[in-house]
Amino acid sequence: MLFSSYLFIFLFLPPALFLYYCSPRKFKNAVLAIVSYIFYGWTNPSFMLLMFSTTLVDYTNGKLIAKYPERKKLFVTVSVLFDLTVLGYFKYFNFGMENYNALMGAMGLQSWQYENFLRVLLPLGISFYTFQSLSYVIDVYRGTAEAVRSFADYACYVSMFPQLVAGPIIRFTEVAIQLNTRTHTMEKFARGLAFFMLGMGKKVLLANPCGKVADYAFSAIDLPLADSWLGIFSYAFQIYFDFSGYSDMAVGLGLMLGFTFPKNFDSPFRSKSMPEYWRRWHISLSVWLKDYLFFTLLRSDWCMNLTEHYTKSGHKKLAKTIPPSIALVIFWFVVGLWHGSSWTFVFFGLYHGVFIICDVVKTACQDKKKKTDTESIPAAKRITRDVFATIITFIIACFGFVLFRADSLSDAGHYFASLFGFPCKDPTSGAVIRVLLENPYYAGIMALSAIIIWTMPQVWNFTKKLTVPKMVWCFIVFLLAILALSVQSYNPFIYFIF
Amino acid sequence: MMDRTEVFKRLNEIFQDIFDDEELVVTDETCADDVDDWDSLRHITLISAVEKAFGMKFAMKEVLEMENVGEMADILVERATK
Repeated sequence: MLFSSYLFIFLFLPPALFLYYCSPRKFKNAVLAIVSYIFYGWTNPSFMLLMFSTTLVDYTNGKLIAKYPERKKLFVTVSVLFDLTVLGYFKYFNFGMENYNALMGAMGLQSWQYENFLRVLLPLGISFYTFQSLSYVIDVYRGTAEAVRSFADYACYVSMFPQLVAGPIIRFTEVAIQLNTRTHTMEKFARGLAFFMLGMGKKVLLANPCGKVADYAFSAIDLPLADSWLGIFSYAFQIYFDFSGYSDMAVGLGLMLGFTFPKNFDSPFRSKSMPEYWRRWHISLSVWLKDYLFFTLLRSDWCMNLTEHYTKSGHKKLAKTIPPSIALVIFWFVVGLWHGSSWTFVFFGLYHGVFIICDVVKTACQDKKKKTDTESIPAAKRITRDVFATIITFIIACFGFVLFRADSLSDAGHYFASLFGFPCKDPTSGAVIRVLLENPYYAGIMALSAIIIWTMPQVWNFTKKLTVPKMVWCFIVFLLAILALSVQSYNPFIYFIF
Repeated sequence: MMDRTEVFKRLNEIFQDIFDDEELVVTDETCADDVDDWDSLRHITLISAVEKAFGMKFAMKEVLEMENVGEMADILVERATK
C-alpha cells in the first residue's frame, strides 16, 4: 500500500487513526501493531508471517539475554544468524544463484548450472524492519537498552506502519521511552499533518515528474552530452524528493500517532564534501551501520592488532589509514549490497567508499597548522570555494546515482560515456531535451526542484512553528498532489524495492 | 583509584596526539562538538589509545554512550590499571 494513494489516504488512514485514538492508552500499541500488520499484509498476506517470525525470535532472545546474561552471546548470535539468514535468503538468493550460474558458465561447467531455479519473492521492507529488529537485540546484548516486557509493545515497534516499508530505520533506544509515555497533542498532530502533506507534495508533484524525465534518459539507446547530464540531474531530484518525501510522510504519520522520529535527510545536496553528504543523506542507515558494523569492525582484534603493528613499527600515518580503510571497504560494500542484490549497487557503495577513504587519508596526512591557516581567507573567496565544493559534491553524488539507476554495469558504463561526451551514434535522439521542450511542465518542475533543493527551508524547519498561512500552504500542496494522483500513472516509491 | 588530575594530565597528552593539536586542553565538559575532526573514526581511535594508555577496556555501551570527557575520566578513575 503506497502512502501516496487514494486507498491509503482515504480508506486506510482515517479508520486507522480513529481506531487508534478510540482505544484506551494501554491498548494503543497493540492496536497500532494490528493495524500495521493489516497495512503490511495488504499486498501479500504471507509477508506478515515472515515479519512476525523475526519479531518473535528477537523479542524472545531479548528476554533470554535479560534473564540469562551469562549466555547473552549465544542468544544474540541466534538472533543475528536468524535475521541475516532470512534477509539473505529473501533478498540475495536470486542474486546468488545468478552469479553461481554465471561462474559455472564461465568455467565451462554448464551441467552444474541451475537455470530454472525458483525465484524468491522479495518481501516489502524486509531490509528496514530486519535492521530495526536486529538493533533491538544487539542493544539489549550491549546493555544500551532494556529488554521490553510486552510482546505487543515490541511488535508495535517493529511493525508500525509509518516507517515499516521504507524507513527511517528507527532504533529501539530512539522510541523505547515513547512506546510507553508518548503524548498526543494538537500541536504534534498538526505538525504531523503538515509533514505528511508536504511529503506527499514532494513525492507526487516533484519526484514523479522528474522520474518521468529520468526514465526517458535511462531508456534511450544513445544520449548526447547535454541530455545525459539533464537525465542524471532529473534522477537525482527524483530520488531525493521520492525518498525524503516518503520520510517526511513517515515522520508525519509518526507524529500523528504521538511518536517523534529522527530526521532522515538534512539537505544533502547542500553538502560541501562526501563525508558531509553521508551525514545528511539517509541518516538512519548511516547511523545504524556506523554503530553496529563500523564500530564493531574498528574494535575487532584484527583491526586493533594491525593498528598496533603499524604504530609500534613507527608508521603512525599508516596506523591511521590502513586499518580504517579496510574497515571502510567492508562498510561500503555492505552499504551497496543493502540497497539491492545487484553488482550495480555493490559498485555504488564502493564508489562512495573511495571518497570517504580518500578523506580519511587526507586528514591523516594533513598538517594541522596548514589546516588552521586556510580558515583565515576572505569571505568572498570562502563563499566561492563553498559554492564550488557544493557543485562538485552534487556531481560526484550524481555519478553514484548512475550506478544506482542503471539496470546493469554495462548500461552504467554506457551512461558514463555519455556524460563525458563520447560520440553518440544518433545525435538527433536528444531524448531529454526534446521531452523538456515539448513538455514545459517537466522543465518547470525541474527548475522548481532545483530552487527548493538549494534555497528553500527544510520541511523540518518549516513545520517547527506552524501558523495558519503555513497550514494553508500545506493544504494547497496536498490538494494539488491529490489532483495530480488522479492523472498520474507513474507513482512508484523507489526505496520500496529495498 | 587513580587521581583525577593525573587522569586529565594524561588524557590531554593523548588528545593532543590523536588530534595533532599541541594546544588542545580537555575539560569535564569537552565533547565531540568542541574538537575539530572528532568524528566516529577518531572516536574509536581515541578510545583505543586511552585503553592502551590506561590498561583497561571500555564496554561498547560506554563507548557509545559517553557524552563528554568528564564521563570518560569518571570511568578511568575507577578502572585504570596503569
